[in-house]
Amino acid sequence: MERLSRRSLLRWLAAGTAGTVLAACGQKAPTTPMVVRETVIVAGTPQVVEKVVTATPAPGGLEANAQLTLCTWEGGITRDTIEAMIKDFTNLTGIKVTHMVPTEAYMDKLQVMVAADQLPEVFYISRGYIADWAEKGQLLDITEQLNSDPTVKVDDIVEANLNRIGGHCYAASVTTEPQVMFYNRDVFDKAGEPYPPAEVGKAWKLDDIIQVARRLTVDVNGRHPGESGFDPDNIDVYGWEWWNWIGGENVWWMNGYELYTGPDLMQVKLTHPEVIEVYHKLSEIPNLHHIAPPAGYYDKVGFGMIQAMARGKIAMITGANWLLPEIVQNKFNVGAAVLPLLGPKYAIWGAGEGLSISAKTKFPAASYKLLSYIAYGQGTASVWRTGLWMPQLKSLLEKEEGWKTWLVAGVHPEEYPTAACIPAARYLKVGPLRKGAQEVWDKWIGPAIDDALFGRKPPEEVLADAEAKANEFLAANPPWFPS
Amino acid sequence: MVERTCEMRREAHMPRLAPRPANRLSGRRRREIALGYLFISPAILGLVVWTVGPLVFSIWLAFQDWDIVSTARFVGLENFRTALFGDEFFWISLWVTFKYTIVSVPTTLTVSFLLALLLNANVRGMPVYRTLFYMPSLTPAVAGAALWKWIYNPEYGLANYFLRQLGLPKLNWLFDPVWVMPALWLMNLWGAGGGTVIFLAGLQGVPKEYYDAASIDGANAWGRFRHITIPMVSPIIFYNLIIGIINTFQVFTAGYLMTNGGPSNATLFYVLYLYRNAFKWLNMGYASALAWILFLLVLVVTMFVFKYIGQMVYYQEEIRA
Repeated sequence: MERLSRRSLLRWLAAGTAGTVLAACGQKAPTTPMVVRETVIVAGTPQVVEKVVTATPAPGGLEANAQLTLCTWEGGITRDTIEAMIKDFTNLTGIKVTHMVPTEAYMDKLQVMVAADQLPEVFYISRGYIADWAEKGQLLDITEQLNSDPTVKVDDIVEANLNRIGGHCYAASVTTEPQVMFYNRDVFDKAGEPYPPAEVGKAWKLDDIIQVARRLTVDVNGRHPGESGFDPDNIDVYGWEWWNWIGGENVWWMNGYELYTGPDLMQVKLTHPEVIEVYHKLSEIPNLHHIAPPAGYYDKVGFGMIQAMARGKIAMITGANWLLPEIVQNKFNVGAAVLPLLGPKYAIWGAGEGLSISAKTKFPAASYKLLSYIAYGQGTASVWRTGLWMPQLKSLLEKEEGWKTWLVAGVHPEEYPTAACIPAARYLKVGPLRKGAQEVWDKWIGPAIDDALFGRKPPEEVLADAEAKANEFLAANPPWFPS
Repeated sequence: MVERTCEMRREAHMPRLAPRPANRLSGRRRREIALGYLFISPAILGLVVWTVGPLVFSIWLAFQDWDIVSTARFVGLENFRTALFGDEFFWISLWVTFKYTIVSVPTTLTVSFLLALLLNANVRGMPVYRTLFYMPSLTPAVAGAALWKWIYNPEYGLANYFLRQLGLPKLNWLFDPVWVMPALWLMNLWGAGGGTVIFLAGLQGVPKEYYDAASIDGANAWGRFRHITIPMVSPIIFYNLIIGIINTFQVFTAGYLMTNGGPSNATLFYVLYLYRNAFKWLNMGYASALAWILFLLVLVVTMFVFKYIGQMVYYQEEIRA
């Protein structure tokens, strides 16, 4: 091989650099016409239309050459969807978007970017950080843009997804994530039990579901809990996988309480008698009723919760919408239902992660356009159709015309509209975005609930202790509200 | 005499050079030194940027209120005052870590040493045994944690299987605040092979003549062990003790991967609490103060051990000197 002289090397480098510069200068948004599906609201009803579009110029003025970076933590199917969505977005708007996916410790890396003043324009943000970052001026207040957005009505967005702090919105949500019950119809059919209700108005009470789960729970000798000779160490089918999805804030909400009292969010109130009573009942589930798989069950059987349900080893689970792709993969006769009532009111927890814009972005309008496309537009419609995500607009969640645009037979169980969609639009709740709330949960409320659920300590004792300590902390760490 | 003559001849044939000032280096020597520094510069740069820099920065941070996102604010000794007088979790995590250290260090040391004694025996296939005992200490922490979670599975784990065989009731190892710490003590023995290798090297350095001489003098096996083996490997025992204390005070993986600090904060190790403050609750200044408190604590404990246990160590070289 001929040896490259210094002069030749320099010549090649110069040519390469010039070529790169020319190529970069010559880059344009694709102008090939393409077909795009869009949901439009006609007379208050969403309808899907197909449009042929070509690249449209980016917003004028300062943002004429907007180049955005979108930072997400998605992997697998969602990552592909996000990248396909970015392509569509660029085709529609002419705005170039670079997708950045830090592999691990996402929020740690995002914090390093903040410290280095290198925050991307649009990024996912864990909900626990929104209040802190908003207070520190890192997040763009998108309230005005949202109010004047011609493509979406604020009233149409699921309230929990607006992530409001004192009426201001600093983050959209990535998706809607309601709690849902799923069950294996075959197990119910075999036991001769009726399916769990799929409408909020017919929801079971806690005592009801415990009794049904006891009848569904069978040991290897065919005996049920409470029957003579029942062997709790050798259970073949469990009635209800419950605790990790129902024992949190739902307990307060369903009894008509909020954890944080008053508009100033200065205190928590944990020790309501009704709440304590529910925790007493829940703590009896593992050891008295034996209806739920014990700790370590999945390690033993070698498969996860959904596989166990698919194999008929678990009759029903309390989960969330994002379990659907795994359910579909496991191909079984699945049904969807509403959660049991833990008090007189229905409420479900569902905090989709946040989607924010850097307050220091040079392209606020373009950034908002991208955020809106992901959160409220058709940007992630293909992920809705896999079951992993759900739309954030009530018009797509509450009405049959809306369901038709994204619910897919064979993916979403037939009861899904009433079991998941309507509850998501009407009963979805999240805790307040309050500075220090995450720390309060991690240090006092979470461990207290854990102790109560596992029956380690009396609920009234641990909740009173947590309440006192949390309030001491909250008094010293007042919340922040935008002026 | 012959050597001296040769030396004189060599000197006679050497060219006579002008005397050089004592401190001046030749150009070649200077180039060599510069080249040497150039070669080690990546390591030095790495040390300065990734170790010394953050270390100095963390001292500064310990006196600031900083949440990464906003500008740091000087708070003097407030972070230290909060830790010592206003944070119950500081004391909980310290107590948890102390409990872990006080049992883990001696047990691991004893097991490592006993294993080394066994592996020092003259038995066929010993290299295989040595490899087998050393291998667990090479297992990545995450894989080890997954394995031990399975061993401690309350229903189907190996630990409860053995208890059942002995007619004992099953334990909720990782889910019971009382039993979770013993579970982690036991798990820590999994890595004893690392210390064993060091002990083994020490044992093989003990001169055989000492044992022969002691045998001739009538010493039995226990006497030889007590008066020859222990003193001769005491520097290694001491080294493993110090390293063990430092490592166990910084334990993180077990609490983070296996128990997430629970149940009921029973495994809220100090470094896990520090990590949560730094990266979960954005109290980076406070976390830095916690880190320096830990450093001072480990320093004090190490000095204490040096003062009171270090004097029991037998250093052969000192006696010779």
